[in-house]
Amino acid sequence: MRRASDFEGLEKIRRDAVLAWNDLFGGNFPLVCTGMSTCGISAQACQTEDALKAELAGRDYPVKFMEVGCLGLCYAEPLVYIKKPGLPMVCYGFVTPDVGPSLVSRVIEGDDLWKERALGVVDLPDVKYQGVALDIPSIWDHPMLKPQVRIALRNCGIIDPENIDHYLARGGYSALAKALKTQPENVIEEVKRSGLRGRGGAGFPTGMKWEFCRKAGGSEKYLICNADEGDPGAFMDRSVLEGDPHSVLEGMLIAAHAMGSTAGIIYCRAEYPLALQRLDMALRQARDYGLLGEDILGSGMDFDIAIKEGAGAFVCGEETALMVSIEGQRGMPKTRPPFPANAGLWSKPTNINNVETFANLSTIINRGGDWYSTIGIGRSKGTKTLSLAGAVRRAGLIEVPMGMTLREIIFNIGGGIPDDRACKGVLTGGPSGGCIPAVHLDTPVDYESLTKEGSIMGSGSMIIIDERTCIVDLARFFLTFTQRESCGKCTPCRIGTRQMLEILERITRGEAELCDLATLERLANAVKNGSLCGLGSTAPNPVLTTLRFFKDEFEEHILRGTCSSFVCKDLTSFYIDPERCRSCGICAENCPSDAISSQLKAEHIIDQDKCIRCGVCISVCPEKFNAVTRRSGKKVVQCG
Amino acid sequence: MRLKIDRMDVEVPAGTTVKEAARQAGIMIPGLCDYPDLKPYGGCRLCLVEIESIRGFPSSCTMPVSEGMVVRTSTQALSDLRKNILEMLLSEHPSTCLTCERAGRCDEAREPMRKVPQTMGCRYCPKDQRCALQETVKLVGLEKVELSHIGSSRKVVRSPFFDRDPNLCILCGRCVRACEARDAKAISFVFRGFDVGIGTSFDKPLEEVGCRFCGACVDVCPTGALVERAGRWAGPAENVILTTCPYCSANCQIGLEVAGGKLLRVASVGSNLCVRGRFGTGFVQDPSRMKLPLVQKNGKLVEASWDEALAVAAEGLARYSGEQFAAITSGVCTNEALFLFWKFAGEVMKSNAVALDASTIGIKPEEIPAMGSVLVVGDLAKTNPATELAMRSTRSLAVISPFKTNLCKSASVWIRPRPGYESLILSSLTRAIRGEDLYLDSSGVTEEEIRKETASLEGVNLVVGPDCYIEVVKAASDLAKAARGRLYVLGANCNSQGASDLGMGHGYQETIRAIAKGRIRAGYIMGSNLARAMPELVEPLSGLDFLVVQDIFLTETARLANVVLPAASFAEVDGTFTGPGGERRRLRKAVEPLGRSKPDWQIVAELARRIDASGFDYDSAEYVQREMQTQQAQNHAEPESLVLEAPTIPSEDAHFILITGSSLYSFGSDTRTSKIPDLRYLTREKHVEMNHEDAEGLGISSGDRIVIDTNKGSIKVISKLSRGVPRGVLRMDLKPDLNKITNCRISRATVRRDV
Repeated sequence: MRRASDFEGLEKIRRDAVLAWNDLFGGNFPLVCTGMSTCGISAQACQTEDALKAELAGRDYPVKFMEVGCLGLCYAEPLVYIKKPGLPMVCYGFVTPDVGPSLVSRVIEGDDLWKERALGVVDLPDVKYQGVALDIPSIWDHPMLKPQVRIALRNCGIIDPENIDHYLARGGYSALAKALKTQPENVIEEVKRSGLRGRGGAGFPTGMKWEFCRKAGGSEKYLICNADEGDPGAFMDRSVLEGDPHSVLEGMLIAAHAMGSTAGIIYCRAEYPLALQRLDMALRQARDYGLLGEDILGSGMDFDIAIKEGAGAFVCGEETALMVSIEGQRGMPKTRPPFPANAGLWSKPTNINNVETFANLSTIINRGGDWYSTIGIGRSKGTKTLSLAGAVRRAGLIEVPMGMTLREIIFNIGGGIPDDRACKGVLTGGPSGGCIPAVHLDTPVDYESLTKEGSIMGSGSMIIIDERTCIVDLARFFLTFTQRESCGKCTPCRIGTRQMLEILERITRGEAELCDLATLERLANAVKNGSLCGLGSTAPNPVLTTLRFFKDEFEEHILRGTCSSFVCKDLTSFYIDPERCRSCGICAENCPSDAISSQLKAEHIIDQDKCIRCGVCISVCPEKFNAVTRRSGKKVVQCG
Repeated sequence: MRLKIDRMDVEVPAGTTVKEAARQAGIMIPGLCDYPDLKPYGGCRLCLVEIESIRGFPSSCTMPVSEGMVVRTSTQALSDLRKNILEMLLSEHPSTCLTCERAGRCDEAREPMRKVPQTMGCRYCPKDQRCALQETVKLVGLEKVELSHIGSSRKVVRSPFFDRDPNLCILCGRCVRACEARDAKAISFVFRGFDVGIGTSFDKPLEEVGCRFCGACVDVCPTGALVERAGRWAGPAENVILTTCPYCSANCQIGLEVAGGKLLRVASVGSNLCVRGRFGTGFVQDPSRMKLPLVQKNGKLVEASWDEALAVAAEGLARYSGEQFAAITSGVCTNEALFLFWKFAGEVMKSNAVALDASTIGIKPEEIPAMGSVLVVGDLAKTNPATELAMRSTRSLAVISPFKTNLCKSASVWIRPRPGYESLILSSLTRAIRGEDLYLDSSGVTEEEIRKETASLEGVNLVVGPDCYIEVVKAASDLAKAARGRLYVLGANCNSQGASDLGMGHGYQETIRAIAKGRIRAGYIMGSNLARAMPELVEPLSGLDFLVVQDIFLTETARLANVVLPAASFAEVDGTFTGPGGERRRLRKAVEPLGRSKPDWQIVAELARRIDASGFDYDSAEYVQREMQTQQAQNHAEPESLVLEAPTIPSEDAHFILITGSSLYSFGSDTRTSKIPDLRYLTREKHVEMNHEDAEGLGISSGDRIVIDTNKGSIKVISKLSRGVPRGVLRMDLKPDLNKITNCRISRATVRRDV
């Protein structure tokens, strides 16, 4: 096992890695890469890869298979990149297992480029190709990728995350070497100049946070990476951990040098088994190369990292609760002061940063803080990863410069709303955030602008909604989540959210009155101002923003008893239009609660007492008839 | 530090919280989770304040003051916020009485209300008028609760001594923090979201998760969630009388809450009480208390007047003196009683008064934290809990114990000898200090462990518990000398020190032997249940020509007497104990003596006068005290004359060493503790603690019925697997009926399943 005991040793390893990396692309064998992160795997990427391998077994020429992370085009998973000798690497999308044999015969063995399935050419500037130009655009010009500036995600979807040499070949750990040759105070200055702010959601200036911790005395200092990522719908950190774990390790090492930390811990949620596995592997590889452990690269710095798995509590993403959880206690946040920088884990000075914050560091050190600060706007410098989901054509993981507007993200990158429906709004910041209505789609995505609209940047989850989403039901959904995750320590969060939830539930059932809205707002403000930690103080955000921008929907539920999105079950009923119904009986056959009376050739009627509003009848009614409709308001009583 | 609170200039030491600083300035900020001596929590959020240049609304109970801070405690925003938060608390708490239009005018409905099994409002609650939530509502000025009452009806949990009603719990966490402070950690927050509550691991009963029923949780609970069942409906006390706990030698100060001439409850008045002091004083009002003297007529004890009883007793005792007479008492009695008893024995009977537990050198729990290094031998958690708790604050703590006790976990050094080898370890430490050879053999401790400690023993404070036998005390005494440290030998009882000061430790062994051999003809026993503690003395005691017994209950010893004189209990007399360090600990009379019982000192004086002695005219306890002070009888007993006999380990090859140790729940001869129903409940099953591996090897699981056999006999017990017990050892709480199988603290035994 080769171990780098000094900078020169590292460069030696790197030189070999670069050669191997180039050989990978310059060889005279086909290279087949499959996107193997959780998004791909859940789209059946494992089965696709198996199918390709089965199809190519027994051939008399070698085929190299490689697994890569997530490129961010999650909507098109499984992704398969094919590099044939002499040709550039082409990325194909929607390669489900059944497509495998055709891909082999047409593209790998044949000469067909299969342009309809090709998403683009994956050209990598650091690799020397000999490849002819193809009549396929570069994937980096793909509308989803073109507007992006990929810093944290620079390697995701390109390298094999289980191979440290790939990371090294693309410049990995060079920033560490540079930092180790720099005075710690100057490293902190560089980070301050970059304007990097905590990417976990709080947005506190990272450099300043490091400085507090550096100034705290003592010989024991802890560095923690918060990989708990509890927001439902957020998967940015997951992709980074699964696709490029070494970027996080390198960031932690740079931070440890800057602050004088003596031990590192990655707190990763247990619901990310693949991330945990790849982190574990990365840690071992880094140790083998001497990048973790004692006297790293001969600099005299001792530092190693342990992994602590979460145990299913959203509140443990809050830094003080996280630290207490590492100590083996119940995850309940603590008041501050004392601040973690002075007394955190085991009462020692501790610094916590988010995965994405760490992933940005090596680029900042290599290219300089000044360069980083040219990206972004105002006080929000650099880029932000966002998970684009919901009613959008191209869902996935993106990284954009701060200041890009919501409209650009949704329509340029995301491709707009499917079926050309109208956008109703965007949810940012998950259950701690808010809903920005469509009229404000020109809001730039940066810390200050989003806060001004009543929402937050949060961890970066971005959920697009259209008219099929009921805003009241949405607020109820998020509040159910935060209420269930509340640790119970402080009164406003424990009881206040429950009271708010009770009101929202009554509104969705049509059992509320207008004065309930006043109570709801009063409670929301009390919870926001009175809570001990971020969970409680941001839990009312979905309610407050929806009340601010969509009050009419609330009033509609209360005053008219209708839900125009046809979501609230107690306010929605299904109705078979007798003029359209042809009495074919398909709906009655499929109804799970036997609610449709049907005799062949006679009227089909839905028994409103039995109907559970599952929607099966709507989906099975033949399109040419389209006889089942949703109605809101008082239930329709049909008589035979 | 100087700061401004509501435009007032305030100066407080650094480290004070804003809430405490405000309180000192006369500003009461509401708060329910904060409590003196408990770690700040910041959970109820009622104490929020506004501080210049700090964002949001920080909690004043957790915020330390800083120089130049500007604090506002009562802005409109804060007032609204507090009302909202309090309203949230009340939406989950039965608060109908707070907003009822008939509040305060429902007297005629009050009686039946108490019989409703569920607390539905203040008037139904046992903590009515004693509740911090009620006070907070007044302070905050909340008038109505508009939020819906979303509650689930949770079951009330019944435990020994107190109940927990989760429907009244406001989750302030005080009980959890109090339990942590007492190092029991039996309760914690469980679950989350709306289901969050306070509970034990896996909902097990408290006695199975390490709760020692110290009552700290009950003391700190602001609402009726935790209420002791004693005096539950009596309401607030009329008076709290400060007195001293009558059990162990820690002499904790307790407050007896009285109303209507009766004892309601005990208030902890700042002491760290144990279950005995906190919940175990109800024996004072037990129906079996003796109310009248008894005189033996035709082989039966019948009630008699004081006149008659004293006459018979005086006539009986007057015929004996000197070596034919034995006067036995114990450190359970007050100084006044002991002094007069000693004087009686000496002047009237020309003999000595002796006490079993009278050789002590006390240690004050308050002084322990300041002690540099402490070495402890003995299971203090069972014998002197308050002292044991104070040990955790010493700078350097070492423990010699075969069992893994809680104190071992707090100690920086734990030496674990096999049971019975404690004295060998102590003497080995002495030899190591002198640089001599060590002979550690089968003690279970290595030479390295002993030699490692020699440096840190300089000036050590050696504390030997009352459950240690004489060999240990002697060895500890030698070690204290060799290490130029101090020796403390804890007394078994609240006034063992007083008995020791009167020299009552001298001659105790001889007296007992004389009784056993039939050389004693007459006896006077005060406050000692000798027949129960040493059943082998029952026959000799019954064979005495004349026996007078003075006690608060008709004990096993009293049943053997010719005359039984009823004494008043600790709660019914004025008097003193001698605390550790020689200071006087006061007993103050809280209730009148039950029936016709009288204070011990008074009975002795009257008896003396009947035997025509002079010099026994005392009008009150003070007069006795004055005479005691002039006498100044100070006799520190040398270790040779005391405590338990050395164990004799029989030589048969039996598989286990059986240790019988002190019990927290049954004190001394269990005369008083056996009168407390919940203490009887906690000791209802005879448990033997055994090691997990030993049990596995024998196919025994926890809770199995097993039989313990010794060369003396067999008993049936229930097994309890314990991680504190070493291999090859069994441990049982010492109870008088164990004499069926052993009368030593250490014996050999075998174990088998009871089929």
